Amino acid sequence: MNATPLLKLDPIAGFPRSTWRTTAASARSLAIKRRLLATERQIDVERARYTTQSYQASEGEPMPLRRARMLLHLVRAMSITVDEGELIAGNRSLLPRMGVIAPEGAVTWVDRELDILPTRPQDRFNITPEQICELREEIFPYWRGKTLEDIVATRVPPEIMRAVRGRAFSLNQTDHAQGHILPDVEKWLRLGIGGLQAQVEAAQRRPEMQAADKQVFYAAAEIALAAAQTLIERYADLAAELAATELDPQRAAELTQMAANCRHLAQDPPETFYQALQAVWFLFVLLQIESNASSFSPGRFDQYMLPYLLADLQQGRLTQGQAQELLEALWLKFNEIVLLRSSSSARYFAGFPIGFNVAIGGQLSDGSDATNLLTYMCLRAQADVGLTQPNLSVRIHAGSPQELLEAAAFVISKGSGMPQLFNDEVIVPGQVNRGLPLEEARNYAVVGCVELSTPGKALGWSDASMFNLTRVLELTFYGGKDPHSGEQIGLPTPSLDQMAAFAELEAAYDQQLVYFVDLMVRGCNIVDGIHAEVLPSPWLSLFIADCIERGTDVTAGGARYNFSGVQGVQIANVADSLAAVKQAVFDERWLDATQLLDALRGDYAESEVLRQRLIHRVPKYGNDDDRVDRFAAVWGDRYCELVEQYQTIRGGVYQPGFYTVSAHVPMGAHVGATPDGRHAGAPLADGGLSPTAGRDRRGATAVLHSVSKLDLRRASNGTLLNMKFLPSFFEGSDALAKFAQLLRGFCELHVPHVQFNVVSAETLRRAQANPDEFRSLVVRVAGYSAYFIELDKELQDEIIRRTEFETL
Amino acid sequence: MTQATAAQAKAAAGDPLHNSTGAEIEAAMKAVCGVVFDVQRMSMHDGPGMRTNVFLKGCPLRCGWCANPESQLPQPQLTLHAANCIECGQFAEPCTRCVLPAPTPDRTATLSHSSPESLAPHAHTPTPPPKSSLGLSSPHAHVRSSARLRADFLLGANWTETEATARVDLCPTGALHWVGHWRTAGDVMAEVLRDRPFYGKDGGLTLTGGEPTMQPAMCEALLWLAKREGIATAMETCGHTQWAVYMRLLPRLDLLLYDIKHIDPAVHLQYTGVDNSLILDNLARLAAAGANVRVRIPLIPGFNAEPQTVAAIAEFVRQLPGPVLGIDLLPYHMLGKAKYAALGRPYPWAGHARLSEAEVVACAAAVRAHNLPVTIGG
Repeated sequence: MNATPLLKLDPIAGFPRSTWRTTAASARSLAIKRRLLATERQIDVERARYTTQSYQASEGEPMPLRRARMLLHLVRAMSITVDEGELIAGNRSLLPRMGVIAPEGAVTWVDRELDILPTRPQDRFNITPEQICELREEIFPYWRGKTLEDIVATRVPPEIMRAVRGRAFSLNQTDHAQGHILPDVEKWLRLGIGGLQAQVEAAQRRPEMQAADKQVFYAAAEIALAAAQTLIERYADLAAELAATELDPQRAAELTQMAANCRHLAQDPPETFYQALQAVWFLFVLLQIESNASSFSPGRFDQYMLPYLLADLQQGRLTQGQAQELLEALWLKFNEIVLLRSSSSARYFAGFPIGFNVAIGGQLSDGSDATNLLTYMCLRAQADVGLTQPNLSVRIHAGSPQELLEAAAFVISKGSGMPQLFNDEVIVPGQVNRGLPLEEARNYAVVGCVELSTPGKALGWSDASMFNLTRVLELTFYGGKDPHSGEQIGLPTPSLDQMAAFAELEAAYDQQLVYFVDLMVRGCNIVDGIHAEVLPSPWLSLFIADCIERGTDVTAGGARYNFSGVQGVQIANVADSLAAVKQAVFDERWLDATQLLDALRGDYAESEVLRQRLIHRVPKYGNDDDRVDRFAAVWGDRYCELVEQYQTIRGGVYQPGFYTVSAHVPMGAHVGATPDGRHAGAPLADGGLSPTAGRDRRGATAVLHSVSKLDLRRASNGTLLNMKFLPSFFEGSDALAKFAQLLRGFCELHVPHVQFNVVSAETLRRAQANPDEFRSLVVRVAGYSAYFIELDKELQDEIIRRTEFETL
Repeated sequence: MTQATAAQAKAAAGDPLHNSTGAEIEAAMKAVCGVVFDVQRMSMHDGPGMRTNVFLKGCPLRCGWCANPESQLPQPQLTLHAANCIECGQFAEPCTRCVLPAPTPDRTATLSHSSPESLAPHAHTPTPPPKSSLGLSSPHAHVRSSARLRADFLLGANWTETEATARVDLCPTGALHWVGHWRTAGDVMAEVLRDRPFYGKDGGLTLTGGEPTMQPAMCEALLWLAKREGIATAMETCGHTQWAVYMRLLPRLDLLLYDIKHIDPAVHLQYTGVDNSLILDNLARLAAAGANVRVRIPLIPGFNAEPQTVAAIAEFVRQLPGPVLGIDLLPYHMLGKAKYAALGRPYPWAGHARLSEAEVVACAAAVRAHNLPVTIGG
């Protein structure tokens, strides 16, 4: 083909407006998609079996070496396959969507849940009696006392455990490797295995790196690279074998090409777009084999992949249509890995969010717009494939092209909940505020759901803890005691009925926050340190600067930038509750504090009239009403201020975030009735910065205004705002342009993140009744997409209740 | 005389703020009052771009299909949404009047302010009584918890404004509430300005109702303030008003969304309560004056939703002395139905189903046949 005209194409040629409503995935991609959706999830025991074998054989060696040997043994021993019609090879388990058990993280909860895995309320997996038998008799016994989970249990001191059990905050990442990172994909594509081997060798030879621990790091790195080579070669061999016996000549040619791609990548960096896609997938498969963790994210895919695409198009090696199919093949691959979580963790992170977050658009390092051909192709891939992964994020800024906003609006209107939008205008200054150079800040991407980080240079530990601001407020009402058990969980401060002025309540709340934030940080640092001991990650460390230069594993502080992220939960309930207490008890004085506390303890059983008054007669967050929004701003900012004064043990600071994924449900389960009219145990507001469900009555722009009153530059770990729209919002000739205008306002108001659910409540109810008909119905559950039918009933009901911005 | 009344006196005398300074005019405009029954942000179908709709109360027409029946009377109305009543048992009315043995949830009652002075420019939204009245449990044991306020209790009640307001304040859920509040233009404009980040170059303020021209001073003040802030303006109107009102508002209106419901005066009178001669006459004058007008035809089954009727309107539009921007067809929807039920009134359009797509398309074709641009929906 003649390549020259392509050079003159506008980026929008990646997804021209005239094709928006007519593009579709290829027949091959649709077949793979159907197969994926029909696959029943199984438990995989190979990861557990071979890890155990390897650990047993490497007793006594330094942990980084043991981890590298584990990786090597796994890639040699695990079963692999290439599925029918696949263009990109590789998975971390034999079948797609298998529940992988990494025993070094935990065996206790796995053991406890083995028998209920096929029936538990959230995230079910099939398991055979033989698998249960092997795990219980041959694998788990070896691990007792050695797992991350077991070690954490022995090291966290009682005062921190009391706060955790008292639900003031959670300590996360206590039963598996923590992931949550943006590896340097660009470097992997540039150097390949050979280049990385050379880099490791050169670093290793430096005279200052001769200490035993440094040499262990490099030895582990070499083994990890050998492991990568082994896995890629096995796929090359397998594809060649399959090609030899394939009867369909076209498929045989595809398999031969796949074999050649793998053979090439086993030593050298990719040269074509196709090879680069295959290389990206191998990188993430290997990261998952090593760590079995959530949220290894590809980051700015449209930037680092563009050169490969353009070269192929220019030289006529590939048509744009072929490139799109290959891209969509990778999009499907992102859906083949799910994370097996414990029942309790699955409630916090429902629907297998594995966090392949792809962040497109945004700015180049000089501040100019970064939108390109591949940006639009990624949007088209999302429109065509419409599954839960990748978690597609579009970065927008004041200079984003209108076409990009409208194309994003179109894909949103298709109802997969994606893309979600990130706002450079507030996020970039927020990253600079954390000490990053401006160019680096402009290169941010998104980890997992909504967490912000720097590709290839940072370990953000973004899901270290969730701090229950609402629970701490509840404890404050009762002088630091649990209202039911009477246990003193927080500091002894006056209870609400002993206070003469609202300022006393604010002072007590502040004291409790100071106390619990300190405990939280101490707990997080303990967990962080144990990860460095037991879960060093030699393969991952190759892709985070400056691990190789320093000879230090990423878990031990090898990254150039180190942070820990702790989420404040949930600002809407805190603001609404404080506004209610201030107005009813202290300003208008129609409610006595004793009466209120009695009503709360009794879950409003005898005081429904009071509860209704508190709901309807007190202003609520989310309506652009300063009388209540000021509490969101004051306490949101105060939480940020408290958190950011602490250091992580890897250097770097703690950074606050406001997001919960699905955690607002379990975190609400342990908070009693609150003065905002919320019943005991009911979910908190969803998302992170969203108003309480049903309390925002003035539309999306008012919600954005309420949210914008917090100083969200400081919430540099990430924020989440959910909005739900009915499909009718997108009807009419100018609807997309108007939606783009909504995004411009979002940008101007400096709200860092927003995502949109476009769905009707009726559809959701039908889906509850007839799950089979709605197998591919994708719903945003806060920060990521999930299959609606895969969520448990409680969460489904919650989604249905969320405010619908119906426009008529 | 206050600034506001001075300004109004001048305006009424056809001398809009002659000799006043900018700041004085602004203060006067901000002080103008009107009865507003809603301010709806992020409206997508009431003019170009994203808009804030200001709903002004009162309408000279009484169309049977009206989707906002609560907008028809000009004054604030007390409304009871019985579905939101939780049977709190706080109301002290005699049981024979306030207890409904078999509650029907979707009923609403309306109590209009009957006193003419409440329509004066400076009447204000009723103020709440002292907070001490807000008991949390029933002060009257004889009102059983299963009791629901019934609609005719309100309709029959002969409360003073203070009495009514006390009850509104007592209601925990807002089931009993005022539709329509006296608000100043300055207050409304502050709310409109909040969404400036979302307006872009096209979006802005839309005056609607009701029929906004029933409150000309309020319209003028809001438009004046919007233009001072550089915000685009539009107005939805039924056309049934004195030409002088349009004369007054036109200089600050970027767009008129102008309803034409029927060409036949007798049919128009029968179904809307007014003859259409003033409406058609005003449109002709607007067209002659070169105003930016989009004609809107609500397509109502059983009234005008057939191609011949629509064609007659299109023919009238085509023969106007100046061009209009186009014709919007607004297909009938049933959204008003629930409000009628809530108002305790029978739904006058109950016998009619929604239009099929084919019927709408046929009407659109009738417009196109007259070489006029047509859109379906706002």
